[in-house]
Amino acid sequence: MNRNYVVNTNEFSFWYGQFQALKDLTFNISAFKITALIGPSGCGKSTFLKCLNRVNERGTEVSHEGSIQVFGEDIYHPTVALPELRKQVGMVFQKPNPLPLSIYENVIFGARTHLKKVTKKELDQMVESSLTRVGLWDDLKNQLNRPALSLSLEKQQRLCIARLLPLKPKLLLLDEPCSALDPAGIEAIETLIKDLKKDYSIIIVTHSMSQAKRVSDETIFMYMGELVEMGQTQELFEKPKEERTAAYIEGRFG
Amino acid sequence: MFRPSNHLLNKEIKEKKFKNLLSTITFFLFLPALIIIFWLFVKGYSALSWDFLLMDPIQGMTAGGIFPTIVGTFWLVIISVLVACPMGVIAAIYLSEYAKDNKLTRVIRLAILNLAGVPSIVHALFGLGAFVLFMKMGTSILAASLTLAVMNLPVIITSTLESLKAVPHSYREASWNVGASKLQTIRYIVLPNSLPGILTGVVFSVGRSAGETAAILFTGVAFYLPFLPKSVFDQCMALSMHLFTISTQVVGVPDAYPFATALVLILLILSVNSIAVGLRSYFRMKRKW
Repeated sequence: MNRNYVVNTNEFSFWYGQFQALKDLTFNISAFKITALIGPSGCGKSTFLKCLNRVNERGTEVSHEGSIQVFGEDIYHPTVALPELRKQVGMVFQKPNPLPLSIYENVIFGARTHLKKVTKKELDQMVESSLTRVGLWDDLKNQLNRPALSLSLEKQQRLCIARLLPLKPKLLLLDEPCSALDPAGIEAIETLIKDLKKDYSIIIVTHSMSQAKRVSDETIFMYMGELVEMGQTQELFEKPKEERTAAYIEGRFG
Repeated sequence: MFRPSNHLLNKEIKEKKFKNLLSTITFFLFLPALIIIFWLFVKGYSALSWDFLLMDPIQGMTAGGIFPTIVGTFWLVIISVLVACPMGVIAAIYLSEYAKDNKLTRVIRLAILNLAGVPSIVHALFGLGAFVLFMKMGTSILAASLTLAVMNLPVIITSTLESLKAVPHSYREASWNVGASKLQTIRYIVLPNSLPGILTGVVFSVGRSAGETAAILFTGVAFYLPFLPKSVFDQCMALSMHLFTISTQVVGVPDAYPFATALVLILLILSVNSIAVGLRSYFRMKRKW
């Protein structure tokens, strides 16, 4: 296993029922970098992201071929326990989705479901360090019992990131995390994402090319379930090798 | 230039008429309930007393009170809920959270809906065949309660399914996504948030079984029993059945008796239902979304 990569996909294809959503994806995603997935709606970028912690397997019939390795381990191996996978590969959704609990309970919800015995003190520490990490602690330390759903959308989204941290995830998946936010909120979350790069590998799906340019180190352009081009963000945007990439980033389609 | 045209004025008049029509109809729907309670009160008031509530019926049910029927109704209702509630809630959780949407589960759902439409007298015959005769329970509180439970199951399942569905899917996703198992998600997220709805459904079904007559007719309710049941294998009297008996089967019952009995039955059901409403609003207030 190569330490520099967090995700290796090998000829990975994925179907929802009869519909093939991903075609023969083979690429590596670097560790401790921010990788942006861009492409027009329906290109499979969200599907790929959801494959990485397998949250898209409920409700519909799904099938796959090829493999995805996260930290060198095949995540579709029959012995993989989904709760364990999801603990280590956390996802933040488009619409902030805090649980209908207090702020405090939201942060420790994941830890509670995984740890058998935790003391109140450990939980308190988790809450403080997680909220500090996402920049909410100073604002909220005196109102931890407030319902999480009463927070502003931006703070809800921060909280959704914070609640992943006590699980010590290795990889964070962000599915258009800013699309429900106003410009100030977007800027705040982007700053946070860039800061989180120090400790976590991050993959972000985004509709906004300017956001991809602002936050990401590497960019993957997908189209119709296929990988079209992948490279350093700056290079990809300045000197795209593929005609389709150029057309998309110039706004000629999509 | 912003004055309304004739056409618009006409539209507004129509709108108003329609609204009035709807509110009148709604009012008339509400009226019978009021009239019934009022009428029962007027006619039955003279018979109501502590003695009436706390005495056994005597002299061939033409005098005395209705105490054993109240006790019997409580037995029936409580046992049927104790059986139907866990079964119904578990079935609903399975259908909503675990079952895949395939032919089998669609058939099950359809069967549940149809079960809700089965007339209670048919349930009674089923209870007679299955519990009284086949399982040899005899006509007993147990057999009657189980029959009531079967009758209430579809109601509880349907209302529980509805309240489980009302919990946004994103909550479940959020919970799975931090690695909670399905069971943990149900335990900590889904159930607490659907509890008010589930309880309401259960309590309404309690009201329904309290008033049910046909289903308990052949399965465990006696015409007249001068003693209280000692175990679930005894027979009992029930308010609803007693009302039928003294209104149609016995001569010489004072006029006010059936009305007073009906009033007690209705007030009982109303108070149970208002508990349901109270519980629901209490949980609504406490809810964090």
